[in-house]
Amino acid sequence: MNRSAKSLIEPSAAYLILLAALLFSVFPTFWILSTSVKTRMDIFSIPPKWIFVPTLEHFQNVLTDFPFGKFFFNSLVVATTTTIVAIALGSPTAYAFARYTFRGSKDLSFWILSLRMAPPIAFILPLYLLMSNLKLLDTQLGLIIVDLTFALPIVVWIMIGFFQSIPRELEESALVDGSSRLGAFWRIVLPLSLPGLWTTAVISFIFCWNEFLYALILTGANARTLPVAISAFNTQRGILWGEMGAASVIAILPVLMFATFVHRHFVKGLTLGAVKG
Amino acid sequence: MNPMTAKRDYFPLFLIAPTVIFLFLVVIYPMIYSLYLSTTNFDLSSGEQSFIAIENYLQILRDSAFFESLGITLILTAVTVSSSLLIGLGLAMILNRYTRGRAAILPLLLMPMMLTPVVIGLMWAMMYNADYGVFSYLLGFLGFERRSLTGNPSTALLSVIVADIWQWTPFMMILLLSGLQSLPEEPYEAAQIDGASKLQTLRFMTLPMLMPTILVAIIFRTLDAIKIFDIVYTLTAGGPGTVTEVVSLFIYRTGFRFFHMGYASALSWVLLVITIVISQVYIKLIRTA
Repeated sequence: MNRSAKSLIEPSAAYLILLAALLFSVFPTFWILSTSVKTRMDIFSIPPKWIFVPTLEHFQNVLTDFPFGKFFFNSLVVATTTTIVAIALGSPTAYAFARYTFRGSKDLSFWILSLRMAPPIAFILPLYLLMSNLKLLDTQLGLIIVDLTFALPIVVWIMIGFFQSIPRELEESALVDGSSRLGAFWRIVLPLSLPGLWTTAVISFIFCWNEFLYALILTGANARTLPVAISAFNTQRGILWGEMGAASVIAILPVLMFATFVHRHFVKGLTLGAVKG
Repeated sequence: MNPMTAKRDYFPLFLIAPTVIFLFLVVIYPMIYSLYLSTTNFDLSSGEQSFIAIENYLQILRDSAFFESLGITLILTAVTVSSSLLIGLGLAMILNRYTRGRAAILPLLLMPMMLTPVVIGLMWAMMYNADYGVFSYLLGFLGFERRSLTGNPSTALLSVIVADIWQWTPFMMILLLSGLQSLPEEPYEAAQIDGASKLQTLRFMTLPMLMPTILVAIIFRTLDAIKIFDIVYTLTAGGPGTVTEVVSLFIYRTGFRFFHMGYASALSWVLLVITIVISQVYIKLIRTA
């Protein structure tokens, strides 16, 4: 075999593998998107239909026959509020861990990290009883409080990394100019961290938006979030595939929108900044 | 700042206090309560609650259903973590070498790990469906018997594993790609001059240098896989029978379907301790690596 032919084999194989990975990765999402806009006839046709006339009837159904508008709103309120509170409480904490070492600071930050690693099923039993005593079952507030147990660690740990990347000299010169330390944090560091804060907020939002176990146990007809409502479309109700598809698409829409912006940083949410994305 | 003044410095404490107080109230207090509950036979449906000391824990040791769910979880964890690691490593190495078009396909390749797990379960349930699923159609097309992978006890766990690998391979891939990109170039140039083969370079240079990243990836994936709940809940609901009943689902059913809160609390603590032990072992590994 001559040299140029040999040098072509490897790249071709590499790109073929990438193509296969891409198809495998995209296909399930494509399939649920297409199911959501197929007519019932097309959904259940064999062989599967690739070309069809799209319809919006399932979207109409999930918004009128089921209160999916309300579930969407619940999810939005819970994920947004949790994220705002997590940023407000978590970024000063992250700043303290990034800039100061004090007795027990390492242990405290690792304790916060470990909260994210622990199995949620272990927390939810006593939290359910607590929320029941506080009369917070099936309320948005109850779910927000519980969601903060994972949103806060995520925000703290990602923001530590962002704050560490900002040079200390900027604050020090502000202090020399007579600014207080809180003032330096508020007027110098936070504005500089704005891109990091946005990224962190989006990641926290996606985690809250996707959260299922806590919402399943803590909410009922009133505060139910999208994932819980969707989980009711199980395989036994296979007849409602169109509605199931439409509801799923509504649920993953924000993620699809945000994904292009944060896809590389999202890893930080999962590893809590242990690895730079 | 010298340590003498650091001791009297309340500013950082003031910054972390709200977070730490909140987390203590919402996590520590309930966990202590749960430890207390685990020493009772608290039943939420009957309201019965009396102290039974370590009876729940002794019961767990005799509970074959618990060990079965633990076994299922461990098999699932081992298979998905190792498969997604291998596939992810392969893809990361390709992406590291062939950069043309990478920026365009990366968001699409990474999408699965960001999607709502509940929806992922439903997606795959649809695709696995015996009559109308695209998978069983494919099986039929290839000349196999058309069947539901989720409905069959021998393939149900596999169907969960495939969905989980689908969701989490991107995570492995992007972590390892970042790791590969941060490796120094000089050793490779030296190896090339010395005439090292590609396999040798991989075995003796890339893998050892990448090991810290690989370990981090394994830890986070393992601890996540042990918690698996959402996908299983919508894909198989633990069935058929209990062949896919992972440990989170088992505890959920004990506590919230049968309302044996005391026993479920004891189970929670056992799971928590297992998780802590695993994470400690891994953290030790990372420190030494």
